[in-house]
Amino acid sequence: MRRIAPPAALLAVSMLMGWFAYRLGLGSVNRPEPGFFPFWICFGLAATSLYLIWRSPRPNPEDEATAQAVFTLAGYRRVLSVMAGTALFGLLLEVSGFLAATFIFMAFCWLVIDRQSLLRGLLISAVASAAAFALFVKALNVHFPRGLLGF
Amino acid sequence: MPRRSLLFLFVVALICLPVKSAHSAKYPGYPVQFIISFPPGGPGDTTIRIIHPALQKNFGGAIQLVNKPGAGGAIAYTYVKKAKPDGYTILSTMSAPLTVGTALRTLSFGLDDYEYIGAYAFGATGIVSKPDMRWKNLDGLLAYIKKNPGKLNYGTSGAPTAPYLTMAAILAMQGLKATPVHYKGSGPARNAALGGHVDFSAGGFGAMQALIRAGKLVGLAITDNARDPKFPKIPTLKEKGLGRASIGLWAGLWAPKGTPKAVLDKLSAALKKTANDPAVVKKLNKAGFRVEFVDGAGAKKLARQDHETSKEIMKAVGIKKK
Amino acid sequence: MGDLFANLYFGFSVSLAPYNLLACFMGVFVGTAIGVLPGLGPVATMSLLLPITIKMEPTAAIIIMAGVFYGAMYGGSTTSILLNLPGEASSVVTTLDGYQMARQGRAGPALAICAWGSFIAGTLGVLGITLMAPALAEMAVKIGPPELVALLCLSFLLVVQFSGGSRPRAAASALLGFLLSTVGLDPVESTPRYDFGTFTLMDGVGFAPLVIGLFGISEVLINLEKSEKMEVFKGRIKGLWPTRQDWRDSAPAIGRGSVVGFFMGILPGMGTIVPPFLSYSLERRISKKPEKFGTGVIEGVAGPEAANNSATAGSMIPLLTLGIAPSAAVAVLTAAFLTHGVQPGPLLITEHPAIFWGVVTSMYTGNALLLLLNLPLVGMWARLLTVPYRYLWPMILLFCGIGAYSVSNNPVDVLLMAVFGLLGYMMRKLNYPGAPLVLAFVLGRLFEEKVRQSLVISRGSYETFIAHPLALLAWIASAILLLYPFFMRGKSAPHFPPEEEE
Repeated sequence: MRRIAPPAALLAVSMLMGWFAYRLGLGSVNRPEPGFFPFWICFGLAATSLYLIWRSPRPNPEDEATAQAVFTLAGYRRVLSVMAGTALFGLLLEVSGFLAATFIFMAFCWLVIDRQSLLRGLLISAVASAAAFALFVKALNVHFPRGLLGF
Repeated sequence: MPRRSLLFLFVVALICLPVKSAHSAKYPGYPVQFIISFPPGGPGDTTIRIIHPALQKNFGGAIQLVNKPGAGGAIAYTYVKKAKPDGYTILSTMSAPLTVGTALRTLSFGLDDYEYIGAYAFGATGIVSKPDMRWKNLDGLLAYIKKNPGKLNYGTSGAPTAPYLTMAAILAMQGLKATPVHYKGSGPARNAALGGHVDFSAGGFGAMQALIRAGKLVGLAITDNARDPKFPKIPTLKEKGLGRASIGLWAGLWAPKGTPKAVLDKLSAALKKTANDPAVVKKLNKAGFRVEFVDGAGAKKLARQDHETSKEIMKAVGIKKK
Repeated sequence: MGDLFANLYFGFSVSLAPYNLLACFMGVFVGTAIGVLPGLGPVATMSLLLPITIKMEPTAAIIIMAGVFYGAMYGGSTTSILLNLPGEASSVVTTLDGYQMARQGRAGPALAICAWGSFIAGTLGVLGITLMAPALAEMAVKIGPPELVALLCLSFLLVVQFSGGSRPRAAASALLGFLLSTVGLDPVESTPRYDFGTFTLMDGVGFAPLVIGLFGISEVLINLEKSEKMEVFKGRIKGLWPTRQDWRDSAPAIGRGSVVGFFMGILPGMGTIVPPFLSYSLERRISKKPEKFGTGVIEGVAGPEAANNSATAGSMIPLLTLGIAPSAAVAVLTAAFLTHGVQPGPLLITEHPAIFWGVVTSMYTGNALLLLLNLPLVGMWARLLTVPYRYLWPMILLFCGIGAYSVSNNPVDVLLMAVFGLLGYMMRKLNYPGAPLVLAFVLGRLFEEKVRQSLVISRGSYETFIAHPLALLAWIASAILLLYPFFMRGKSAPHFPPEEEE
């Protein structure tokens, strides 16, 4: 199953993207148009995926060798929530400013995902965001969006 | 949902609540951000960086330069359009995305979405070729194309750029045919002419000056109103009766619509003083720009004019708006 | 030759003046610092430094800026080795073997060999500039679209054979990278593709979000789900310095990497990202134990690190002699020249000899300073790994986010980074290699642009691709590369993993 799913997904992607590319116009081999390259890349990707699907029943020594191949529900939840947190950080940057966004993000990581105790989590979040602010904004002079209070 | 997560969401919501800004009435109370629609080192980036120290002094407040490149300037233009019109977010860029870009494409911003603060640096499109070609000047080149229709290639700084529109317009006005090869920017277009990969190139004149001075390229024509005093031998298109093909390329400052007049005046005055600073003028000249201060109303008129010219050229050449 | 020594003497008299020496130190110091921070690249930092340097003398200002540029290449490898997180785009390859070395407790030797390799390559690169800058620049301009197409094809072939493991999967990964590179305005007619109505995608997928997500974020995710305790580095730190055997393995790799990097750096568009890939595959190809690559061999760290440093030097050549910027970072250097009223180009040597020779000689000094700066740091960095991972990972994520954002100050890039983090995580779990995707992504845009330009220039004739001697040479090399495994199959050739392992 886990050897068929990825190439099947790739096949779907390449067919969808290939269709978009086709609609852009392919032109000819002598005069390629915007859709030409994406279309043939998709074609190649589709062919490779089909080959991988065809090959999938055979065992792959590499897959056998790696222990990390197990998917667990708990692992998934962790992974997805970390990504949600990162995305939240990106969204907050221009809303609440650098310092607040950083603090929220750090607190999210340590309190919600890592489950530190409330006081401890807030404390290290505060220290970490202050350090990041000092390093990036003060020392390296990177310009971030300002939030309230002008940070 | 665990209690902790709920608490967390609550705190987030609290921090993000829009609070009425408590800025003091004095402007500028804290650094003003100038949004640049080019990456560091791009044409509209260099001009503002050259005037930045003097402008800051004349303005009497800190100015931060922030690059928000991407999508032919659309990201920066949209960002400033949506910004609070409090004078703390200013657009600093070249005119092209606004004048040429909106003619070529349907974009989410237009000429009337901004307050015009002023223009200060004027660039030109330059047409160059290698010194050992069969022509020595623009007339020679056009005559050669006439004899060899469709045989020559020319490099451009890109399909949606003013130099391409200018060159295409010249050819269309004379009823000539040559094939455009689009490069990514004036630098690569110039290099293509230098390496002999194309027969001549049209791009930003600033990028070409060093090589013209060194004799590795010959300037055939520029689009500006008058000849460049550093290159008195290069004629303008106007002299050649091709002035209608010229599209202005200038650097200026814009503010979101609705910015208070006092703020605009303060910035405009600082810009005017800076543009008259001889040290600044000298540096901008070296970088390939003519310096002239044009006030907000004048800049708006220039923009309108360039926009109309672009649309005319597109019609004449047969380029469709995307 | 006497002239050269006179010039060098003059140059050193400029660059060793206390003020300029201090500028050089500042430059390389800041460069190392931002190199260590992932995503925060030399381009962003140099543009932030511009307003500060504008009050300085032109020579000192440009010495600082150049210092940041090549200093970043030193620092870039640090997080690649320690956290599998490329600090600079050019250190992607260093993660492959560097991180494995760190996991085996050999972070010290890996970091030290990076510093030495960078120093040797950097110095060789500057020597190259001193000796043959003008001639090489003229040559680089002569390389037109068809020649570049051939060179890119050669590089592509190396990519697919590049990573270990399943070759069909590497091909799928490379094709996906190629497909990603077509997002955005098409390089010739500027027609929007796959932008789905968003402005961010109209300009294509950013390189920083892609690389940070694919490598850095995915590593954090893998570690996070593994266990609650998150012991990433089980081995103890075994020695801080390279052993005699390490040196014997690395020295030739550093030499080859320097040469590859220098010449690739001059070519337009290759920048400093492609040379390390080529150096890595070159080392793998001539190694006696190619199957060991990717498990922590020191040549796989030394060669690519040398390559990216000499590429930096190489990419300075077009700037100093023709005023051409082959990469974004060099474009900022151009801006630095211009803000000081100096026009880089063919006349730079005669009009501003103090600046030209001062900057060139400062690069010798700067490389030496970088070595002195970086070697003592090796111990400190290696100890970083003893910090419990549960305190480390949120900080890593934060730095990644800041890095992705600060490249073009666009918050959407942070979201993209998260998406690529997820993709990288899936690919890692399913044993699809990430490196081919990155290289194909970098080469893809250039490839399409150059193919289409070539065809416009030649009016659709494919003869143009073999009409140039250099292009022909590259095609022949590609053909040999392609047929090589068939010739070698009879003899026991361990260069390729056994076929058909799917």
